[in-house]
Amino acid sequence: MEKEKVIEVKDLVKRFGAFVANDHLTFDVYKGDIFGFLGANGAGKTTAIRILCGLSRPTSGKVTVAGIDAGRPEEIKKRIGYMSQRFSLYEDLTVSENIELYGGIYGMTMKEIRPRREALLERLSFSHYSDMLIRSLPLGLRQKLAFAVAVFHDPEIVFLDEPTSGVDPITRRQFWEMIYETASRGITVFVTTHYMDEAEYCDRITIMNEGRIEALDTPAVLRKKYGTETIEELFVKIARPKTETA
Amino acid sequence: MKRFMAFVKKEFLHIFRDYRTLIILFGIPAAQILIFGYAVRTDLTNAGIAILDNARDEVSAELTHKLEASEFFRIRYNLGSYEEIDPAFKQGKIKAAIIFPANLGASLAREGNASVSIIADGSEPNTANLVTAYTTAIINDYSSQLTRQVSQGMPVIIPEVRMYFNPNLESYFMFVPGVITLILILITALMTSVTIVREKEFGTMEVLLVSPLKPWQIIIGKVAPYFFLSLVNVIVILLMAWFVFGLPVRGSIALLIAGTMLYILLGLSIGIFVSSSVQKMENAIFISFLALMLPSLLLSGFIFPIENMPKIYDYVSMILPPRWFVEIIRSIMIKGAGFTYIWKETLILVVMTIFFMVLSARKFKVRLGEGER
Amino acid sequence: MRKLLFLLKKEFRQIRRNPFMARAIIAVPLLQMLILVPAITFEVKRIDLAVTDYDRSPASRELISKLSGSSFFRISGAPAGQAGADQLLLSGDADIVLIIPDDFSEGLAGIGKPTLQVLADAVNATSAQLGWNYLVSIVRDYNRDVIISSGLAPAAIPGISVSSRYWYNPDLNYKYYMLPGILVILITAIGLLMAGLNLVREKEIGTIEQINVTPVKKWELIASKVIPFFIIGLFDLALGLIVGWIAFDIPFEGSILLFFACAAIFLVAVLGLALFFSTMASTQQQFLFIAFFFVMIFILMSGIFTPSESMPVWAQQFNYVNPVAYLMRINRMVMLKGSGFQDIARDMVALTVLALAFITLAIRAYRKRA
Repeated sequence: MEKEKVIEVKDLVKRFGAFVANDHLTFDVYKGDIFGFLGANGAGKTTAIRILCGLSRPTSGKVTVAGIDAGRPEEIKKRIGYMSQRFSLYEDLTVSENIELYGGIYGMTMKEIRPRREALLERLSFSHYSDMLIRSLPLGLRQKLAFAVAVFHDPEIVFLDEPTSGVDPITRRQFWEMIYETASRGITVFVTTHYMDEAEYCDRITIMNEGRIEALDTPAVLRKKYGTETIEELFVKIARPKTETA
Repeated sequence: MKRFMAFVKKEFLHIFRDYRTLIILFGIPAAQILIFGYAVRTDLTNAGIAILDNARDEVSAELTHKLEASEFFRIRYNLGSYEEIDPAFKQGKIKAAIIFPANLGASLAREGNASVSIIADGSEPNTANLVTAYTTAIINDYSSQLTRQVSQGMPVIIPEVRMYFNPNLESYFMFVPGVITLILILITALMTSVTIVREKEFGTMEVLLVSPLKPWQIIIGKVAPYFFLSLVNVIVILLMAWFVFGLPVRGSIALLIAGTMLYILLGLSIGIFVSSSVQKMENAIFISFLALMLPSLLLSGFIFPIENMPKIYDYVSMILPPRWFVEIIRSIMIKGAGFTYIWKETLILVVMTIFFMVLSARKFKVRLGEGER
Repeated sequence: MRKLLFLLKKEFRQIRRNPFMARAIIAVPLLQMLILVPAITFEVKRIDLAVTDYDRSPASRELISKLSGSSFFRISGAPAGQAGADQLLLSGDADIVLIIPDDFSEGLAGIGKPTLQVLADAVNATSAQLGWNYLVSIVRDYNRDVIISSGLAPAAIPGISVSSRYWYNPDLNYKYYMLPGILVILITAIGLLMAGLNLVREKEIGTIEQINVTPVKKWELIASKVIPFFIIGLFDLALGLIVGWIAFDIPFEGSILLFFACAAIFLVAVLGLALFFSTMASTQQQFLFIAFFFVMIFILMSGIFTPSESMPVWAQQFNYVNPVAYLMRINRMVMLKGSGFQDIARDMVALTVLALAFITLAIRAYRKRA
């Protein structure tokens, strides 16, 4: 593998009191990849993604994002995009006002924002929504827009925390098309999900269970290794025994 | 019934886990008791005054000394001229200037009378009034000594005063009942309405309504912890008033607790009524503040006696529960009055409670009826 | 700096779209001014005086008519006996009971000592004391008249008369006193509640996380929350002042510029506090309680109702860090007495230090990461 590493994580531990949310995570993410972070609810995915985004401090371990140590979160933040689990565009602003706001926060001028915004809305065929309040849009459109806003400033990496939860299958398909399109622009995509079918769309996946990484490789290699037809079966195989003994 | 108890327990836990709010809920009355007891004094001590002594004789020296010796005043300046009064006021250092005329002692001896003028800072009317009253009293006192010297054997009337209920004239006697009223409104009406509306806004109320619990059980379960919390809070306040100020409950404690429970019930039914009328938290906050908090601060007569306000406030305050409740606790707690003195106020509160209960029960029914259709 | 402009644009758009805000910005000053200003008064206008006259002599009737001649007392008859007096005080039907003993006129005639018994309801200590003082001064006047007319004393009894005048507010109009103070409460409440609830709401619904993951600086974020409410605060101050002018004809002796300059410094301090409190709360309800708790203490301690000089030393020391106390004093001095910059310079400096401290506190306490 000659690929450039954009995220390096070594022995990452995050504790909340006695509870260990992340237990010695070690993994790398390569540039331009779609990296899938899989696990059941409460497996520690969101904790890890928040640390990578500089929203939370690791208890111990070495974390480098876009070549910058996690000890300098504000530097990291300049180079990443983030879409949180909770919908977080402003519902009382219009589509174009939201885009303008986040473009502006990442240091663009109105002159830079305007043409890019037109192009983006055109590409998503959102143009006729541009002056509507987010509040009045259906959920699927909102999610797509949130993603578009997260990559509007051309970050090196974009983190998506369960971007497709609660969205209908058609929108999910469209959403993944957007992810592919983003990756093809050279933006690394780090995505968490608990939909196992989505794992097949990723270049490499990590399966987390109870704060630990249980498996890490491409979907094909993992299926072969565990001898299962789908990632879903694989996941059940990995996660079940632990849960039952616990 | 078991299900209901489990629900009530959950609601209790929910409230007691939010320790920040709990600290504040007990902190508010504690801070108020301390502030009203020790800091905010409606009487006058250490007021800065200036003396403009144009006489510089025995009488003016004697009067200056008397003013100085009283606990009310502190002489900040001995002014040289009339022109210095205005700047002294403008710096805010003095509340009054007292001017002795040039021939004070002489004219008192020769003509038997003289005149002292007080210029008080009218921008603080209450202080101005008190300063004038106290200065006048001190000077009158000096005068009557003179009178007595001249009129030995004259019949001088001696008025004797007994200050009932509050012989040491402490200002916190007014405030303790007010603090109780305020905290009760805060917990019962404001907290319950905001909590219930919050559940409505976040959609969790729907989940409860489809559960096998009956609607009235949900409401009781929601407000029961607040009933308990309010009662504990009142008892803490009463204990503080007793231990910190030595202010005991003079009347029947049972009667006081009964009256308090009635008021809590009223507050809760108002809270439920508000929550059944609004959809958004900020509106509940706004209504509770404007329609409940302000009146209980202002129109209950707890800081500002209602009889001194414009007449209209007197009438408006009659439809507000705090006015009657303050009267009840003040009578029981401080005057030691029995039920015969407060039955009228109690009756008004009972009627109000029934009114709001019926009203919110009907609102609730209407909403449920819609749900079934 | 450019980022701040984008954040500000966002805040103003949101404020403009919130119908509740528009209503609050207009309605709160109007209501506060029109309702609170006339209501808040310590002025004692009337005392209910019940008189039990055991003497029933011309002398006692003369005294009663003197008392009823004053507009201060409203006289009623009281039933005889201690129990009757007690009942009047217990029920609140009388504020003061005056008992004229049956040997009063004999005493006045020189046989024994004339006495009067006064029972005052002292639950409200201030009005009890004022009532008592007033009663005594009327009795003393009456006494002097009696002595002079009886011819027992020389025509002139030495005495010092006291005349009093009130500067800056000759009629002791309470509204003049309360209005500057209510203006302070107004901008404190508006600034603190609006700014604090705004930031906590973003926390509660989760939008703040999206902002936190951007490279925006903490001071830019805090500034974007301070500036809109700073402007609203000053707007509401102007509105309140205009309402005061129109409705209560309040005088304004000093410099309006100085007045607004002080209010501006004060608003920075209050907004800094608001945002600091909002870092401590995770829900709007929690914030409300925290804010209410501190605002209550600040306002009660500020000397709004009572002169702060009468407070004990620790309370006066507390007021060194109480922004409300400074503005309360400054407003009254500037509006009513026309105090100038030099008179209030020390307070202004202290207020500025507080404003800087609170804003710094807010920026430092704000966490972009948990």
